[in-house]
Amino acid sequence: MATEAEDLKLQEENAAVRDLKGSYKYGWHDATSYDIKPEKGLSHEVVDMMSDRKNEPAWMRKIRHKSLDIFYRKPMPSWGADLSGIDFENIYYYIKPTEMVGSWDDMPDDIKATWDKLGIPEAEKNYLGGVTAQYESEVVYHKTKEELENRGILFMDMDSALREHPEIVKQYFGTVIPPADNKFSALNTAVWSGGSFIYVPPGVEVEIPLQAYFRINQENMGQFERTLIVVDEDSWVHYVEGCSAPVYSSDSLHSAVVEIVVKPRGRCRYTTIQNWSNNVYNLVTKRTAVEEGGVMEWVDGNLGSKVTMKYPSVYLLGERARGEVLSIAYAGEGQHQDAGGKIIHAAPNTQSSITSKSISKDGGRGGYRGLVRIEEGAHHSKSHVICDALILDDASRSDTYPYMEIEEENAAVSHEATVSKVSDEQLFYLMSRGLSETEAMQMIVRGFIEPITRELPMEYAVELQRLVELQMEGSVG
Amino acid sequence: MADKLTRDAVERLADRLGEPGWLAERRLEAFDLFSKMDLPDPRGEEWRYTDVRRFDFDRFGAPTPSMAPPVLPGELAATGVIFTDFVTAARDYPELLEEHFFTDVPVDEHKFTALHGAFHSDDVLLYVPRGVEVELPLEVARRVASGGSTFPHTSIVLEDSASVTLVDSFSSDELSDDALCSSVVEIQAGRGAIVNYISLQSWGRAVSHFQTQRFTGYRDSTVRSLAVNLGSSFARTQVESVLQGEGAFSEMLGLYFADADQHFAQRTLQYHDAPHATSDLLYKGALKEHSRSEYSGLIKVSRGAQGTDAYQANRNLVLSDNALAHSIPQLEIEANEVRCTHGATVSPVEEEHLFYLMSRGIDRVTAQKLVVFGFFGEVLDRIRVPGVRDALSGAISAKVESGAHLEVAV
Repeated sequence: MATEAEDLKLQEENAAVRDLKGSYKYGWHDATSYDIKPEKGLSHEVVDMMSDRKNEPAWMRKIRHKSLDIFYRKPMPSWGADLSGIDFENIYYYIKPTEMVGSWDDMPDDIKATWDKLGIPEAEKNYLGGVTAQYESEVVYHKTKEELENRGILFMDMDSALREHPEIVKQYFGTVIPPADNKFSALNTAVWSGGSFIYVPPGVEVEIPLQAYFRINQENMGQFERTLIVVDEDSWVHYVEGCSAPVYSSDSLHSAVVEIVVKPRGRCRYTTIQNWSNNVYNLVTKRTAVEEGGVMEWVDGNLGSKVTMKYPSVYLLGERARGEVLSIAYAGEGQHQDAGGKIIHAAPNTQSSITSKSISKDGGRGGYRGLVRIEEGAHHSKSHVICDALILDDASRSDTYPYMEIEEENAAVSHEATVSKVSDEQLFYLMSRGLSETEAMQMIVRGFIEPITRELPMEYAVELQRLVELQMEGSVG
Repeated sequence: MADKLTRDAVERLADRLGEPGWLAERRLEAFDLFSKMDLPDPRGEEWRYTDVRRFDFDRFGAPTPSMAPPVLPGELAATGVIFTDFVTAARDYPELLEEHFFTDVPVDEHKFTALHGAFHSDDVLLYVPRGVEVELPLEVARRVASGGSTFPHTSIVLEDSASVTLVDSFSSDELSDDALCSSVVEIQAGRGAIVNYISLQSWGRAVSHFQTQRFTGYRDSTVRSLAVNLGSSFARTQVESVLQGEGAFSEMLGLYFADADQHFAQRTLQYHDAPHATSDLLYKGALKEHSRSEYSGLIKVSRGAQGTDAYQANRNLVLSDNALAHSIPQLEIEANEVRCTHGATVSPVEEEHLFYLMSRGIDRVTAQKLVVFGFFGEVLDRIRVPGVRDALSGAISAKVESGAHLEVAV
């Protein structure tokens, strides 16, 4: 039985939830004066301008120009979501809001207010090993706990990494995801700015998560962060990213590239809670190369954006490597979440699993698109894929496209998928125990996504649950 | 020198069959479409993994209609059942033929259906009037000549509460020259009608086989299908069930066993376009040697098709290092009161299973055969025509042992 105090607390929370209801919690925008805000549109001149401002080495400038040509050449993807609304000429490719600072207090007031509202400084104090905060094109704040720095861990923004550790960046940049991989990886390589760089030396375990937070503030902004994580032998790291943007009437584009290298017996977990506003095209390429005995885990939560096309990939290149993708997508009104995962088994005795949970509501379109490929010679490999979808009303849609390509006899691959609605029996049972219909529905959905939330650090699990509950408010007619 | 697949050959075929003008015109229209159309693009979803861009039609001679006209068992004549070829149908039942002529599989679907539209021959029209239940399975046997081609068309129309079973077999010896089969099957099941359609493909290796089967089930109808692929070097089978009426049911079974360098591509669609319909699909295949198979299946549920219950399973048993299996089960759901489940597996013969059997004194080959039979048992048990079941058991047995070609005859 709940005590009176608990009741009161619940009432307060409910009131807070009601306040937020109907509005996107992160949907405000701040009037910001920018250091550099060039014209809209994409050209080789824009690339030169960025390269000049960043004072980059010549090889990077060359890669950018080459990639832009590839971008021009490549057709738009003919599959997946409708991308016809993207106008590449109506996008700001580079906006520099301010110089980077090392303390929240040094941040210009208008931008600092944004981070305070998002609760980032508070989170850094309490449970993070390091924070990177990106505003438009540039990282504006960065801080790593001293003890991590002392253990040789490098955690910084990508532009600083290119200046301070050019040899590491040059060794890995574009090796996991070459510019020509797809149209949007080419675009990112041409105009990338910001993003995180992490290097964990051999035998180092980073117990507390490192976080990056990406914020788009400007209308028609294109954010193209570039992240590179190298986990050396016998090390492990957990990296978390969050994203949000204001609500505008016209669209912004977020097109990141994330490359991860996991060396023998290393382990990396990458968690995303994506909560872009409903006018952001989120087209992201994420891929990990895992060497012998290494482990890669993607935890991918997609709640926001207008359109998301994102399929975190794992290439299992060494024997006994493992890959896991946990994906949750929530598609509300006007949203299309084309999420999923991709695992390539290219070595013997490798294992993988993909668990996808998607929820569609209010005319949203959610789904799973994925690939499991077993290369010839990757004998004794195993993969299991589970996709479950909940459709909460009759205006919504769910798609499942799991591809399985098996070129090796000695491999076991299985796939299961179920699409269903919340059953009346389940609702009735919970309501007979005194829950309201909304509470019962929320409880069922909470149970539905539990396989994902239980893998998150507590703070993020709570956040994810709250976001889903917010989206679900009023879902019961 | 025999005719190739040319426009003149189309005209000569229509002449020889003595078809009415409208049929001959439709053939020429289809041929002109064929000439204009590109070969299917493997980058599109429909022909993914199946690259036929270099398919050379000049290898094949024009079809020489050879099938004996379908024979209706005597006792059925009085019931009003029609079982005949298109030429006879055009003469005796022109309205019926026109009404159901290429209605479900339009000739412009792709280059192979267009060619089919131009050269269709050895056609069968099966019409079962309202309330008539045909107990005994009807049979049709398709053949092809070495170096030739055949374009058989099967059209089945069941009025309300009618029922029928048709076994359609496509078989030949090993032929010395390449041959082509492009077949179309259209089935309409009226209210409460029950149809069981079985296609058995055991061509010789020189044959390339393309087939499109499309069924439409109206209210409370039952459409059962079994698609078997054992022969030919390349076979692409597309089986689509449209559940058009409330309460319709569709069972879709598939059985394939590939060896040597055989390549089977299978595409299925369970299209739920009405409420409270049920579909149940099970495709099982075994792969030996360098063979490869693709299975791609979609469950599509329209908005408003509430109460849909759809199931789809594809199981692959891989018997050799060099075989290759792709499986792509897909769901597109626009209704919320649904239960849609699919599962797919690709796995080798479990060494423990073999070990267990061998520890009982069974030799390895026999043990493997038992495992393969156990694997296919789930499909074989659901085949309702005993003759087909027995013939398939024999063919599977022969495949496990030697990969020898065995024509499946019922």
